[in-house]
Amino acid sequence: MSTEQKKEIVKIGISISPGVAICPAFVYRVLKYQDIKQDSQISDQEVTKQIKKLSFAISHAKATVNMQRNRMIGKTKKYHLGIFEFQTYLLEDSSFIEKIKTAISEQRMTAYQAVIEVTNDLAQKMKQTFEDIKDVGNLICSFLSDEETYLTAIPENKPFIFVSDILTPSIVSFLVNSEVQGVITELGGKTSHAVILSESLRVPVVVNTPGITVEVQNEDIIGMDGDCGKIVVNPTPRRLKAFERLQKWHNRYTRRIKRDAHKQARTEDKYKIKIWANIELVSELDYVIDSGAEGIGLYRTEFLFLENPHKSPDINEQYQIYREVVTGMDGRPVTFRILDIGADKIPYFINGKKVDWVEEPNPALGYRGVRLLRGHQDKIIIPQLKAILKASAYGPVKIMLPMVSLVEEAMDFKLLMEEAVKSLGSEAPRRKPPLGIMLETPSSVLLIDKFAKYVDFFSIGTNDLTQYVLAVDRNNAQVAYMWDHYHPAVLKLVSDSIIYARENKKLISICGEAASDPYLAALFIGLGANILSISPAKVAELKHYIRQWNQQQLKEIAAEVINYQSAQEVRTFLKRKVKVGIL
Amino acid sequence: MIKQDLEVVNSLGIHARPAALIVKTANNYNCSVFLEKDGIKVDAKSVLGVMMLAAPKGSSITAELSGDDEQQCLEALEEIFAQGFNED
Repeated sequence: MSTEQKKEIVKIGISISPGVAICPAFVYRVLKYQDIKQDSQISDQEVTKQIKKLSFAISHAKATVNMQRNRMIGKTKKYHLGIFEFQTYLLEDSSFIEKIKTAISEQRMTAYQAVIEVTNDLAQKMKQTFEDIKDVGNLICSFLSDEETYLTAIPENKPFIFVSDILTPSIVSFLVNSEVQGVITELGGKTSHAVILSESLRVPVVVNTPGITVEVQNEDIIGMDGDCGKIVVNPTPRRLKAFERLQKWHNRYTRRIKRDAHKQARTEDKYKIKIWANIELVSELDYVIDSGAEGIGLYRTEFLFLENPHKSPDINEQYQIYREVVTGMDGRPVTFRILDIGADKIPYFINGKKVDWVEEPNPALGYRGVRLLRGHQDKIIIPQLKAILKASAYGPVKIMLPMVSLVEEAMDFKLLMEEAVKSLGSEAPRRKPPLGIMLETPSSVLLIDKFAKYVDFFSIGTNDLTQYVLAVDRNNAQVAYMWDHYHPAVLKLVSDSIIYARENKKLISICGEAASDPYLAALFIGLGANILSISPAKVAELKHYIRQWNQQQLKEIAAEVINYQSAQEVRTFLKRKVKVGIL
Repeated sequence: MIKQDLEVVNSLGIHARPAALIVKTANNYNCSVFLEKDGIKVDAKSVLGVMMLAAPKGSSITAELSGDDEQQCLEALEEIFAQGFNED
């Protein structure tokens, strides 16, 4: 045993992607704020280059503030959102930008030094806004810090666990081609854009581990368990052994599950269940194909619109992307959900025009989903429909409407679809894609037989359905404990949806987060569901479980729990009765 | 052109968030808006300018507006100042 055994540190974060890794650490901090003394002045040519770099960094900083703001909407008081407005205004302020440019061109500083100099100076002058100005400086600098250095700093031909304060989409893109074995970050939650992207690295990812970049040093050995979010830095020999055993077991398990990923999932009693995947970005396409998913049950198109704050994609750009997805799926169905913005997802710009959203006291009950589309038919809906219709020439496509609560909304949408077909003229597809609605509101479930006259299929969105039927905002810490997919009220709505969809001879799928939970998936199958659309990371695993289940038994289990009175009772019963394990 | 004194009533004075609110309000109108305090005159449509005023609670700021919609803009500014920028 080594005499200089370093102190063991154990941390628990939030698990994002499963898996086990044991590897030396590579620590990287994005947000640094150093006072760098200037050694030498930059040359004439360098001035132009640095000013260009500055503009690039400022536009990225603006996009980041916009994204951070969007993420906070609905999660904080309106009042706090003002700080993002301040940051945006400062980043757009020509006198502020001029000051930095002058420092570059006249004092011959690099862009990085100039930003630090100017923001430090301003912060000193305006004590009340000290932190806020420094914050903006930090942000710009994070896009100026030499990307080349971190490109070369990432270890080559050597496995490592990436430890950083935050994850940015650009870091993920650097990691894609490296031998990264795991990712740990201090900040971040399940919904941050970069974190969602990191799933495509297919390594264990754990976020929300405050202080880790300070406590861990390069080359420290880390053992991480992505299944439960556990991280051990400098593990003792005993703990290291345990991790190695866990890793071996995990690898065997993954191999076992992956082996049959591309085969159909049938229950013991030969009942076929289709497993589809949910997707957000075209970059996930390979991952989806590889996962064994038999279709895309939910393509969330809003990321296309949120990604670039300056410009929404036009018909042609959308068409190219949609076509890539449809051809990539090679004959398997792709369900496009029409732009679902509002509530917590709001773009600052639509088609280059700044949008002034009215801040709402109650965004979840406000102007969102299909409601928001009413005012934007010509600018958003018709172009998006046309792009999807054109792409439908390349494979089976379905179109789905979000957040529907009135039958009129489905009727109006049908008319819009006809309008889009007409305006496409000779480019219109020969066969019109089926049109469906998301069942996310109690009213859509209660009136499902009325909706059935106008639409071809239904898809249950369990997250919003849970929020609306229990009247609980899960982002509100004081009531979040009440938010529960296992609640019998939620399950009753799911059960009714399936029964009535069947009665009306319509296809129904479940595309919410709940279907990724094997216990609930089993229950849904017991209630009669035969299409589940889940995260691609879980597809092979769920198929493996399904093969061990018996649909008749699941039916009996479902008939029992549907009469329970609390989420806890349902959960306990399911955990006891449903077998979730590896053969 | 119109001129009018405005009083800062919220306890924290004009810091980042109120500055953003002032700029947001001024930007809704076409008229030019300048704010002056202790001999420092700044453009109310620049967040950096507004912060330069470093105005604490109780200070008085002279607004100077010029343009077609100066009256409406002044009324809007008076309202947000009077409400203490919705802070307290």
